[in-house]
Amino acid sequence: MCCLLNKPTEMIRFLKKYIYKKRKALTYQDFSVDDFLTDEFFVRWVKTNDEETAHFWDKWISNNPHKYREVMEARQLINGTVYADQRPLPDQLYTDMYEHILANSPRGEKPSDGSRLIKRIVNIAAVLVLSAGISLVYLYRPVTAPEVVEQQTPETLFRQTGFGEKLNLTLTDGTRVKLNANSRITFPRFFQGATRVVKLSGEAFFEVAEDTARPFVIQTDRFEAKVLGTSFNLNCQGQNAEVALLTGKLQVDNLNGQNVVLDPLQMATVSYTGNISTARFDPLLKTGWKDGILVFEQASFTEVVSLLEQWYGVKITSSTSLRVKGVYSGVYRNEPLSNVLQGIGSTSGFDFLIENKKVFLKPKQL
Amino acid sequence: MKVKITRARTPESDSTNARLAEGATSLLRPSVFEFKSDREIWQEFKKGSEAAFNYIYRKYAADLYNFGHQITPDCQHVQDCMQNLFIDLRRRREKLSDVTSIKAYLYRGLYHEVLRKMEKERRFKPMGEGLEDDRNAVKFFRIELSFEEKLINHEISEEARERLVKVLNSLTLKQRKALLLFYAEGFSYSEVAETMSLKNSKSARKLIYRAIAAARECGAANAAHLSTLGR
Repeated sequence: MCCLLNKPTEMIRFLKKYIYKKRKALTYQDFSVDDFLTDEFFVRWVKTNDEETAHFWDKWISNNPHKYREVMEARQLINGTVYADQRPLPDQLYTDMYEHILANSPRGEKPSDGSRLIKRIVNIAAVLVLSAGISLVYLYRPVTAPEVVEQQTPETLFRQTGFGEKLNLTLTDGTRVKLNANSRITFPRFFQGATRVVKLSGEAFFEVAEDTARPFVIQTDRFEAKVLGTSFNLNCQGQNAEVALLTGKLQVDNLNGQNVVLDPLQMATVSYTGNISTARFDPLLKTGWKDGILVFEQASFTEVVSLLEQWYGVKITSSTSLRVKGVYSGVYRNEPLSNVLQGIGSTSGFDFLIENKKVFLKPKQL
Repeated sequence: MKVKITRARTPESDSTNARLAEGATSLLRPSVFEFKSDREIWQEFKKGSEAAFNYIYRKYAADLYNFGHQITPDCQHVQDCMQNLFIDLRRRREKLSDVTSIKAYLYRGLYHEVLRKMEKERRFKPMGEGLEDDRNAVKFFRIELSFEEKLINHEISEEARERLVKVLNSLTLKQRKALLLFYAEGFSYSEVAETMSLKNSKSARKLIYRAIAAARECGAANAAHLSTLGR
């Protein structure tokens, strides 16, 4: 046989095969600690103690007391093996990630029939219970719980935009709405009654169809804007909620019952406490976005970054060695992101890399 | 000799979300998925069930997060990769293949996602740390031994434990990963094979068998033989 196996590699292969066969013939009686450690059935018993495995091993051990030491040592090693670097998932992150995933992927089932709809509500409710008390970032406005699972029903519709998205829509009364990124509008399929009411979070530009008999009302969490027929921009994201009126007349009511009436090119700002202040505004700065014009007006670096992220739907990270000081002003009309970054980078002193939806900023190489 | 009880597995770490999830389900109704096989749950997810997706996320999010951290210490990196993984699965849900172990499938997906992202970002960091780079690889998939069971007349001494931990962490990255999957996660051989893209469960068995043999050898070379554990 040795002459057949003249090459050392073949010899090794043969020996391995032989040893393996011999190992297979072992019964649990002959098992060493290592044999137990590599026996799937044994490990499963230690880890899960399920019915199938426990039935066998409990019996086996009581019949083989001389193997107790090996069994216990193997058990201890199996149970004792853990990750050295354990990282618990914070609850906040658990819910944040879930929201992010749902917001960035298509939903599965469509709420075509009642039972499915209920299933979905239960589903969402389950996540809500998880997040309750931790974060209510879900809620675009402080509403009561049942409204959170606001569904698209035959009577009420909503449209929503994410990062980098804009949306044009025309309501049934002829009112045209341009929705900016990260915004949401809820409206009835058909306007009924004495007023036309929509709800908005985020930012939108409205051109309200004239209908003197039925005022158009936009509800936000800060105020209500009542109009007859005008065009104006309404922004209720960030610190201040504001309405900037281009044409017509518009009344702003805060939630404390105070109101102001705006003239064209006047804007109202409603603070967190409900205070309303008015001022004149630069139409390009406030409403340029609807025509694809990106405007920076004395913007800090963080403001520039967050506006670009929102506008182009990208994620921007920068090298830790990058320090940008001062403010930036500039106007870009329908420009691709690379042109905009080129422009800002040349004055603010950074280079950039764009890859898919990620942007990386680093100090300019001199 | 006394055994120092190392509690590496903190009770909060792996159960907070689980408890919350339990609380949530018991408020509503027991999850129907508890009694279903992975294959069935996956089928339902593929058909568009949001409840099945919710269950999958709830059940594996915490474990995936921990697993991701075995390859990178960067929390943001792990978070991004987990999100991408799930978003991608939801986008392709109808076209996904059948799955026998959801956890193994997700682990493999996350592992590749993390590596892919690292590879990409290495261009930004010229002094990048490759997994293949042996000097750095030691940081990943590190093993700890934490004995909570006390054995009568047979205790593994603290010195023996420390020695063993050192030996285990001197194994190759692949071996450490396999040991952790098999023992810490309680994976079957076929799940280990699935997670690590091995040919079959036999290859997984071989890998683990060799890892243990190597640990024994290394332990023997380090003077004290391992069979004298604790004595």
